[in-house]
Amino acid sequence: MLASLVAGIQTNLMVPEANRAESGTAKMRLLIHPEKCTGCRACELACSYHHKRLFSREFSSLIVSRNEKDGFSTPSLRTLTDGGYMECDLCHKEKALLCLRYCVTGALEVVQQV
Amino acid sequence: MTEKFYCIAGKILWVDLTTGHCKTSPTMDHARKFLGGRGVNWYLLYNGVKTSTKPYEPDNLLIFGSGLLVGTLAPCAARFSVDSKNPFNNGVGSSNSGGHFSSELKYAGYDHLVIQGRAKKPVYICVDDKTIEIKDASTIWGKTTWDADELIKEELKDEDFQISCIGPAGENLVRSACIVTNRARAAGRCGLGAVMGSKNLKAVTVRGSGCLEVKHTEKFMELVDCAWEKIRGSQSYRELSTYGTLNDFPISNLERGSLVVRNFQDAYIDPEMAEKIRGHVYHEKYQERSFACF
Repeated sequence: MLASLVAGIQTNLMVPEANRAESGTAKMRLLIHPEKCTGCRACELACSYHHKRLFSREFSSLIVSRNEKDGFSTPSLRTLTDGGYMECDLCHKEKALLCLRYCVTGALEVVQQV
Repeated sequence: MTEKFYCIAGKILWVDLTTGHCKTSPTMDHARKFLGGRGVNWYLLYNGVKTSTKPYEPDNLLIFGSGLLVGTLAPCAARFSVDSKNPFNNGVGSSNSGGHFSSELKYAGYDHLVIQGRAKKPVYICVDDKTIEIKDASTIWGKTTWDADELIKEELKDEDFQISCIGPAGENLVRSACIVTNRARAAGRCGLGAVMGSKNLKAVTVRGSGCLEVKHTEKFMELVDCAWEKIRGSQSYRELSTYGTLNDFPISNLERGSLVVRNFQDAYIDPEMAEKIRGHVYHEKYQERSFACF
């Protein structure tokens, strides 16, 4: 079911527990492709659901900046300076990475940390 | 003790443009029976507007309403309904629109926005969480919906405000005027843009930092995943998500006769002409990129 939910994305959603971000020592990281983003913000909700079991962009590690005039949108991970943010832990204890699961365009990918 | 709500934000916001006063009432007064969106909008309209009230009179209500699932991860739950007495036949006028306005209204704490009265001069309503302001719109009156969207964001210095506004058509009470959200989403039915213009209301803009909760989270997400899977597995999903409603073009034209031609003056277009404006033609020749609703 998970594979069929993410048609077109080659990356395995099931990041092994040992490779997930814990205490900031992530072996995998989120790679963002802004050119594929359509600005739907499903990733924000998926992320907030992971952190708090609530739906709100305020609890998301990801934030999508939408420029409607010029027609582009860019997801990015919040930084320490954003204040009150929830740090990305690659969906620790979830069955899969939720932001990838609900992104329909393939704008998000998990890759090996370099 | 603060009451907890599931799916809904909990409040209906009432803004009186004549007096400049605002108040709230509980969504739960109506949600159990009428759920949300158009259901609650119509109940409020039915009980709040007299039969004798004309569409452009101040006593007519213009109501924006979000649905129960809007603002959650449930797919295809992004739209808002806007309802009022319509300027064509004095009956109910109901339209709806996509974009990001509906969810933002709920994150601000409101499931419905009821606008009554008429402002003395052009204004726009600014909802910033619990701060409600009726701001001067004299500098943007006369602007197109695109320009108004840009100017309001410049004034508020925040790109994250979601804006529903009217252009010169609504301002001049053109009966086919739309209410346009996020520059590209139109509540196009029933001339409700003209009702908005009759209230001297240029725009409604909203920004919310709240959150929504569902009661049975695991079960809810199981159903959400099931819905996502069915949508992704459907035959029309790829075509619709690539070409939008232009995908329906040949069917609405040739089978249903429901194509909108010259503002509904006709419902059919010659097939040879139709081929030149099919979805794939737009996609290949004119499309820059896709921009999604919530």
